[in-house]
Amino acid sequence: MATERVNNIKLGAFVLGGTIVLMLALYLLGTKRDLFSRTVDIHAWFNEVSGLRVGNNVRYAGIDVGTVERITIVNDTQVVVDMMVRKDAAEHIRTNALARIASDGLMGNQLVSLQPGDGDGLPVVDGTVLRTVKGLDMDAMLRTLGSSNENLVTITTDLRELTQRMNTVNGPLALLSDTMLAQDVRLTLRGMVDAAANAREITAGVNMLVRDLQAGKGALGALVSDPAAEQQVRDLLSTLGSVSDSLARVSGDISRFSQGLNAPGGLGHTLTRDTAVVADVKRVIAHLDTSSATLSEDLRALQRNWFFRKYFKEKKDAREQQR
Amino acid sequence: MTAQRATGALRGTLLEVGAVSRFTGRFFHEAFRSRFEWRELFRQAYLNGYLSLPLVAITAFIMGLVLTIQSRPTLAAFGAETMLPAMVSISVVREIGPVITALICAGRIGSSMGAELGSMKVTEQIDAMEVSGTNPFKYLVVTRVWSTILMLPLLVVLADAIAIWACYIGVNMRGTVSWSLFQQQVFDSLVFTDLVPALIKSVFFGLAIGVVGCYKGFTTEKGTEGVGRAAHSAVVLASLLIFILDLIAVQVTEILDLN
Repeated sequence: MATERVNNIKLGAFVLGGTIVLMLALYLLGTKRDLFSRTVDIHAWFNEVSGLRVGNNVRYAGIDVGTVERITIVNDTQVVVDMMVRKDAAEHIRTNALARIASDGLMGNQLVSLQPGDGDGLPVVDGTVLRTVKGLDMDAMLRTLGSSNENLVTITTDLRELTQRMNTVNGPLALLSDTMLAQDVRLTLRGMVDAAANAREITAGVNMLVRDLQAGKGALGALVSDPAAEQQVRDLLSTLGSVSDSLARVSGDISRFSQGLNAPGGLGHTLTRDTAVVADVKRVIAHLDTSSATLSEDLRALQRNWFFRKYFKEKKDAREQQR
Repeated sequence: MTAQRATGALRGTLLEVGAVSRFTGRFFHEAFRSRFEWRELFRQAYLNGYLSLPLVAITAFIMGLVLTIQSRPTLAAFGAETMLPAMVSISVVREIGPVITALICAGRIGSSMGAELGSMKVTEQIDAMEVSGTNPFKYLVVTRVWSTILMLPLLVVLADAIAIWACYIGVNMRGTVSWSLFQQQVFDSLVFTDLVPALIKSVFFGLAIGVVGCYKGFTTEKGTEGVGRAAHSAVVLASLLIFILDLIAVQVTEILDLN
């Protein structure tokens, strides 16, 4: 009897568990279909609904706010879609909102997408009919895709011809198989690498120099950063200025002197332009030449004179000793 | 000779179908008449429902996990891995949950009923009950068939829940999906017309398992050898009936535009 009681309790727990799971599933399914919430019924008239079905979602601003309740064909060109929208969401949907048929991704279900219209409007209420806009037309998209494919075929054909032309023996792509060119390029690159290394070293040297300069190292650094040196340079420049002035004055004097020389009656003018003076000078030089020859002869005679012979002999000995 | 054998087999089949139909009719005749054996019903519900739960739960868990793991590469090829919860839950709730649970119950409950009632039949206990003034059909058959009719939908609901939970684990083995998002994805894809026809179908599966198990046991002949045959044929026939009923259910839901 006790065992039977325990078994019945277990059975009760099992049945209760199963029932609760079932109820929970039904409740969640019902919540998704807005069966347990207050709703507002709105409508929209479409020319075609692209496979929309009862139970598909109604979406506003990307949020599921309701479901499609009924789809009815009104006439040969119009279909009316009755939608059930949650009351709390309906407060934000205005009467000027636009409805269109959309898809939940490429592989997703169809849905009714509501989007705000222009201007202000009142919140939707039961029976509101929304304006509709045409959604994405898959056929039109496929037609566009078809023409894009045709363009693509043309482009790839041109591209193929271009590559064939480039790949001929004398084409630009033939350069790629030229081993000499590759070697040259390699050498050039190597040279560029070396140049870059040198440039790097030079830059480093310049950097160091600039640092030293800024730190006041070396003569140039001292010149740049030492105030005393700066003063000295200023003094030097000042002295150079004075020297330059003096030189200017001297050069003026020399210029005036040379003008005086070259002026008619001046020494230069007389020596170079007066033919009488020139003839006198030539005659004097001729006399000097004759006199010096005579004097030379006289001196040689004097060396042989017994009175001066000793003197010349001692002079000669002294010269030989020096050698 | 072959024609004679075929005719004999056909006649035997028709006789069997007729006998099962009469047996089912008798069940419905007795099922709603007063003096109900509540105690025996609870006992059978415990034996056939509660005690089947561990086996059904393990099977459902593995089923949900395997289905998720095996479906992932195919969906990933289409870049639709996010549809995994929806796909598995629809498959489990609509078809796999009810059918697998029913097949497990056909194996466990059908054989047990066939063997138990067959033993009672060959040991003349059923005859003894009749002599003592107890209606053996009401006491043995009606309670058992009711128990399977009532317990199978519950087992299916629990199996569905466990399989979907296993799917959640499977999805998170190669990704990260929160329970909240997973639950949203599952219930966004499921509708009443997925769950309700499956539950109605499972009621018929329960009826088939109970009726076939009891019929085979109740009509056992030829001693202990017949008991084994009754248990074996109860499982085979119940499994076959489950598939036939499933096919009919699919056709009916298709005609009613519930798919």
